[in-house]
Amino acid sequence: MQPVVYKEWMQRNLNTIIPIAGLIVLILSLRTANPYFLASWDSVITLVYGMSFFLVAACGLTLVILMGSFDFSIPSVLKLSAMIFAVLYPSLGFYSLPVTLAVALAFGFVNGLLLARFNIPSFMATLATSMVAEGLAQVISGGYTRIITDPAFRAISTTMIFGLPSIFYWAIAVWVVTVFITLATPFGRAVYAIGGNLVGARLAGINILRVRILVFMIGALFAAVSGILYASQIQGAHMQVGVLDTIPLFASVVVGGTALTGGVGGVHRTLLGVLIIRWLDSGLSMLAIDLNIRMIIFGAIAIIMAILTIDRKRIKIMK
Amino acid sequence: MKRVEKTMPRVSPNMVAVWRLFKTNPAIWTILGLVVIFSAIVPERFLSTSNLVAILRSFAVTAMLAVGPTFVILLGSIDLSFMGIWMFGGALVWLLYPYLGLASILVYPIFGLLVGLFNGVVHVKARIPSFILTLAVTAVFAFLTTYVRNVSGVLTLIVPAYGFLRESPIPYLPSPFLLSLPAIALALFLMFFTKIGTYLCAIGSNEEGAKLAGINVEKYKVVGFMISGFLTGLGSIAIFVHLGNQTRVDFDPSELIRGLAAIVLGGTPLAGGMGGPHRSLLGALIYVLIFNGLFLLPGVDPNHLKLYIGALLLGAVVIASKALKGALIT
Amino acid sequence: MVEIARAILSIRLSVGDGESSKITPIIILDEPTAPLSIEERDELFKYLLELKKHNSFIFVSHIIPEVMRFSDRVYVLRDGKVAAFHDLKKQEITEDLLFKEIVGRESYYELLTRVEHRLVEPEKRKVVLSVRNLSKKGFYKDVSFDVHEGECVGLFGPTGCGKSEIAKTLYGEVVPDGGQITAENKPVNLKSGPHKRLKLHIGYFSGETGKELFLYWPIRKNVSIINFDKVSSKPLKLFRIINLKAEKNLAEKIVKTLNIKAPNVETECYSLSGGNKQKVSVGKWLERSPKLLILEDPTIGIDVGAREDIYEVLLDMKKKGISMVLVSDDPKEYALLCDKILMLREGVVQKVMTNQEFRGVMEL
Repeated sequence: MQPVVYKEWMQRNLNTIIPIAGLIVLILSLRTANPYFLASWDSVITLVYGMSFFLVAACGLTLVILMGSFDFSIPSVLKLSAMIFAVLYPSLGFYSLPVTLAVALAFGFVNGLLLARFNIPSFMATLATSMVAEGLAQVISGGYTRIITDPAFRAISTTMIFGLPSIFYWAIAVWVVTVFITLATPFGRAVYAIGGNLVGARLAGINILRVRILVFMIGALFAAVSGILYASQIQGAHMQVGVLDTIPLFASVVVGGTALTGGVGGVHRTLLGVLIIRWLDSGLSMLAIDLNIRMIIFGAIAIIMAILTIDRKRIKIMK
Repeated sequence: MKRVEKTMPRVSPNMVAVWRLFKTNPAIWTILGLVVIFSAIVPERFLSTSNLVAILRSFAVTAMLAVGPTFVILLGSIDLSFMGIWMFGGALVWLLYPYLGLASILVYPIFGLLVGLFNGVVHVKARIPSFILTLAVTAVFAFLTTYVRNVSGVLTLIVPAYGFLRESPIPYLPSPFLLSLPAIALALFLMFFTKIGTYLCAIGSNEEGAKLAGINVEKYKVVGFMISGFLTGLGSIAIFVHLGNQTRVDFDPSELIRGLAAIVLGGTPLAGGMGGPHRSLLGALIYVLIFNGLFLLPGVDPNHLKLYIGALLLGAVVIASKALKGALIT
Repeated sequence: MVEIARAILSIRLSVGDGESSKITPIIILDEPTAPLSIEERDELFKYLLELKKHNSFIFVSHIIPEVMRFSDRVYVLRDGKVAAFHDLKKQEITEDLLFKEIVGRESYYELLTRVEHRLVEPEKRKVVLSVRNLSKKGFYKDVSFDVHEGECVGLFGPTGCGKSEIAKTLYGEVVPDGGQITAENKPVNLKSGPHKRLKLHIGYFSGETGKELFLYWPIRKNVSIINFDKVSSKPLKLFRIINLKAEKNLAEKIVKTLNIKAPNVETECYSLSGGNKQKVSVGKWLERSPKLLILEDPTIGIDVGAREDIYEVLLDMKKKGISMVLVSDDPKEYALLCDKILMLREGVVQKVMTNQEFRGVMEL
């Protein structure tokens, strides 16, 4: 009897065990491969810079995936927001913040509306809106890199508090708020409900249209916040921002243990996924592994984790 | 439909068939409308021989990105791996040319078939959503292509020996168009002259029902993906030649959208169960006509290209979403 | 029906083609009549009895008259064990005996005789819901009725008569072409979805367990999904925060009152038996206590014992003054629950009967 219980426990908690075990193995192996990894406080700060803006965007994507949808437009909205902010900052100062957020929210609203009102599969709809966002970024920047040298802007992300840059606290704050929303409010329950059983959610009187639109708007809002933080961190914006983020973002969500089919996992898990992916990324780049190969590795990890996390007995028909 | 029945006694059966064809394929109206509009606004530029040849060329390219995946969309799944097949297949041709000589172009369809087999088997056995699986496959192959280019230290993966393919034996018909014909013919054959097309539609419209009717659903899903991969591989030869005997080396999602947009514009709903490659051909023509005409219009800034593509696709998916009414969409 | 025909046809073909192959195929019928109307069932059995001359059958069903009519030998299964065995050719048994053996106690026939049905006095009671000239092309036409407080209205008729579409229309799942629905003396927007109906205190309970239940959620979450106002606080006036303790208490209360067999409230619903799943579903509505509850096949596919429990809950709710609209296939269910029964045929109301009249017509 005992081994059966043990096995069942393993299977039920697979989504939690794999990321934690992965993280431990990762840290140990990176330490072995490179003695400088995490050896000094400076290297910790570098890692924090690498993962903070990323965590903010990943929180938004996790919400969308929990609902059973997908959002391709998050990296593009991230880029667009960074670009709008960088372009407007010299003339508007911090008043460019509401403009940027409004544009991002508009994108989220359109994404949600296309899915919930026009019944278009979200990956298709967001692929289209991501093209629009890319196009807009191209149009407003003319394709040029924009640099902001204002120290006040840079201070948003780089002020040191208790030895860590402020961007870390921004990211953690966003993460905590999102975790709270998903786990302790009816809205969070509704997100899980839509991901778990769409018909049931409708019958239970959940306003599917509203929840879907709100979730996509939150996703876009977080993408914008992430974009602005990143712009502050790198002192400007360029057309390559966010381009290579799609796969790592997606990988960090599924590596955390959120199933692609929705309803399983959570934002609290995404922190683990982000840690793993960003540490892996920095570890691999320390080992001088080509960027393209790194992307391939992330893609493979994402697919393997996606296969492991989807609870197949729940879904009769997989499209 | 009812009006057709009423007019039946007065009109000959042929006319009814033509009327029905037009009625069930709004794409035909759209094409005629676009041609009329652009001929009216910019007649001398739109109707020039060189422009018509250019339309035929880009039609071949767009159709080749759309015809294969249509078979998977019939299933209600989606295949985004066509971009990966096209990009990395070209890299393989370039890599294998020193060993295989001219025969290395045949790597394209074989590679496509293998990728399709892989997609199908993983999708069916591991049961993960097809769009994310095939997207990852495309991403992996796209980055691999860039990697091959970087490692080899060359700028483009060009194979000059295939220069003869670029010369068309028939005037006014560009060679990419001629090279796309085998894939088109094969697609139409598979759709209308074998049971595969019917089975794929059956699975797409009601998977449980198809299973109960005795269709081996898993097998035909794999077959669908394999057809998609093979046709994309075959068609990629045309794109390869169109681009000057080379392949793309940098990943651009807008190309991904090009194929999807053609399918959707042609009237194959993403929920599956109806439509087919013939509609995707019409859709490809619509897509090409819109873009061709749009850039002939005065005052269109090529810098805004991406914006237009996005807006166009957005419009296309909204129009095509009519067919998805009532389906449960995530 | 089509599926059964197709299965039989395919067997026919495979046998009929090769005369030499003398195999007698076994056909397994698993609740074959569940989706069929009464007339269709008769037709099916006529055909099945014909086929029985050549073929062997394993017949799985919980509808006792069907079993009596069709089977030669009966195995009664209870809790995964064979509880009784009868050879119908050798011994005569009654339906009630089988009922008793399935439940292990008296059947709900007894419940049926116990329940008294008050005659509705419309002038004395408040109208909870009124439907006027509701029409949807191809489904139902000019349907009008009133539901009074504490009254259960049954929509009775063969499958395809439009009864389940009417029920879904009342809950906003189906949009009608025309007509009027009035709830709480206010006209209802016919295009609004279930979330708006819930605000008007209209609930919907369907027996299809997978449909309304979140199978991979614990009982706790399944129960609270429509009862957030009871288990959450609103500290900032902006959004609610769920109180996990209150949620747990609520679920425990429901598990206790409904006698749900589960280790604790954290048990995921998929591991419960069909009857217990249904109890969780009905339990959340018991707690919510809407003014009107729409019931669609509330006891489909569950064993007789669990049925009785659910009927008792529903009758209890009725006593509290909750009105109901019932759609089902089982005439006994109407006799048990309804005060007023609308006979439907091809989407048109043929006749309105009281419970007494209905029992008379159905010989119950």
